[in-house]
Amino acid sequence: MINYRAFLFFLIICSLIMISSCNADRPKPDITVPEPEEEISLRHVNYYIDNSGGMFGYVSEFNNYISTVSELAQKPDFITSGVSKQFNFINGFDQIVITDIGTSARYFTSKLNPTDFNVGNIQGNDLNKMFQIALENTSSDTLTIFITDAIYDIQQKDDPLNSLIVESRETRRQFISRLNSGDDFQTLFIKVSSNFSGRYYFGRKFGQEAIDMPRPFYIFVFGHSDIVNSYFSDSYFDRLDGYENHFRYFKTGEMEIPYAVASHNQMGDFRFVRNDRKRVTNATTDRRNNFQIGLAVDFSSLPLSSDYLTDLDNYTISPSFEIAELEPYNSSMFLGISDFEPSHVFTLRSQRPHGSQNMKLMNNSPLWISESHTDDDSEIQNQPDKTWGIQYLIAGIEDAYKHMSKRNYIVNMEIFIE
Amino acid sequence: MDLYEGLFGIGVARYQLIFDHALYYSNGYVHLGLIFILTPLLFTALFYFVYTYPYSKYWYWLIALAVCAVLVFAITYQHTLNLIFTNTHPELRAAISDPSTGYRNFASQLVMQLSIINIFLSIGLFAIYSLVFKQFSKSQGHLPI
Repeated sequence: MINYRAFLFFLIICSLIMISSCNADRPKPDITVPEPEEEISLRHVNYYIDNSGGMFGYVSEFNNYISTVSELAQKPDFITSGVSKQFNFINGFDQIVITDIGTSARYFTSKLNPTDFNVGNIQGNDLNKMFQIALENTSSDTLTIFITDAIYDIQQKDDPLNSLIVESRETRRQFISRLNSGDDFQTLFIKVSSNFSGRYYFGRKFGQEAIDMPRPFYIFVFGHSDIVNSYFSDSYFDRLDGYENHFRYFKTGEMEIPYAVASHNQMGDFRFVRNDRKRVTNATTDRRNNFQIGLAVDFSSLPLSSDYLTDLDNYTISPSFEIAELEPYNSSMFLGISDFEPSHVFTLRSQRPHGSQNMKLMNNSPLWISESHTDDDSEIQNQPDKTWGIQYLIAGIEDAYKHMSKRNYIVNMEIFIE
Repeated sequence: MDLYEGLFGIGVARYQLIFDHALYYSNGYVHLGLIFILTPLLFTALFYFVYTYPYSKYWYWLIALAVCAVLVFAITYQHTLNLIFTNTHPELRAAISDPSTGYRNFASQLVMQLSIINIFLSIGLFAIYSLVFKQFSKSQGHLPI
């Protein structure tokens, strides 16, 4: 005999349970799409070519200098964007002389020879005054390209290092003044090597020497970060004959990048916390007391070269952790991160894996800048890749950016291990 | 989710794609829960209210329990297999099809692990349901004890 009342009760309970559990799939973590910012477009480019006496050796024959300056003058992106241009030679010490070369790239490149270079005041170059002019003529829709040998023209040769420091501080002042205007302002610094056949004017001492050898020269590009990054992406530099290296200086404000912990190269054990991929729980070391955890990050929004990002010296990390490995991301890592596409994956190692851990990408000058520096150019023939005082010049720029930045690091990645 | 990953500790960070996409976001844990809750509920209901033979022995109840456990294992095994191996998430599919990741082996072990966990959970619930339903049963009120 069936107890119909009890069986009916049972069916009702079953139905309630099934109805309550048959909901849609769980919502996946929201992917926040930032609202597009107002587009900033480039309208004008100013070119300032240092044509002081020390630059003549670069234009005595067709070489990387002429090729590179021509490429920049006729940059395809500028042509397709319909950007207007203004070409200028610039030199002089007490009084800066700007020689207007017009707006035609073809006419300008025809002027890259010793005869046409010999205009204005070729007796000296006050780099800081030149910077001031270049910086003042840069705005949110205007780029300035300044090409120079970047050798400070020091008048007090009896104490050149002190003079370098003074010049460096003046450079810093010029950049701070410009950065203080508030808008996003990047300095792209490119080192290029070219044959130099002419008179080299010593930086450390009075006098000159005729040389025929490779010498570096430098391209400074000033402008809004978005524009500089857009028109001068890392892939572009291969088109510059003699290109050696580059670095970007920018204000490190409120930069945030996506990052998440991952099980890549995992050692020991831990549990992910759903909807909080910056946190893991139940972290334990393995039998050899090792713990490793992956940290996937997306650096693609940062205007930094791959070399800079993959140099582990540019990172600091909490004392109980070390960076064991840094690899470019590839899809076969199977990280299970759905809300962003990583660009790099760190492997972090520790023997005491607990608590809040910070890893910071620091705002450092790259090593190649100090390697390009010499403070004694008396034997310049033995130093084809060195520039007298360049480290001081760059230190002035770097200090200005650091002073005007809200913090001394570019990004901070904090994870929690419990 | 907390039951399987928290209490039974089946979560393995190295194979997180399975736990996220086959079990969590696609409601796989809910399905597994329904299997171990409803199957013994159905079996005990049938045993106490539909099966009316009044002279059942203790081992009749044990046979019902065993059949229920086997069924829970079979349903859980097949359903979990489907959840994982026919999942449409591209990264999970790629990970399973790449033998070097170890995902396929782990998934096979996990299917068995979840099936066994569900057996034990269903046995426990079968016993609890029995103690409740016997109060209302006119023919099997003497079972299991």
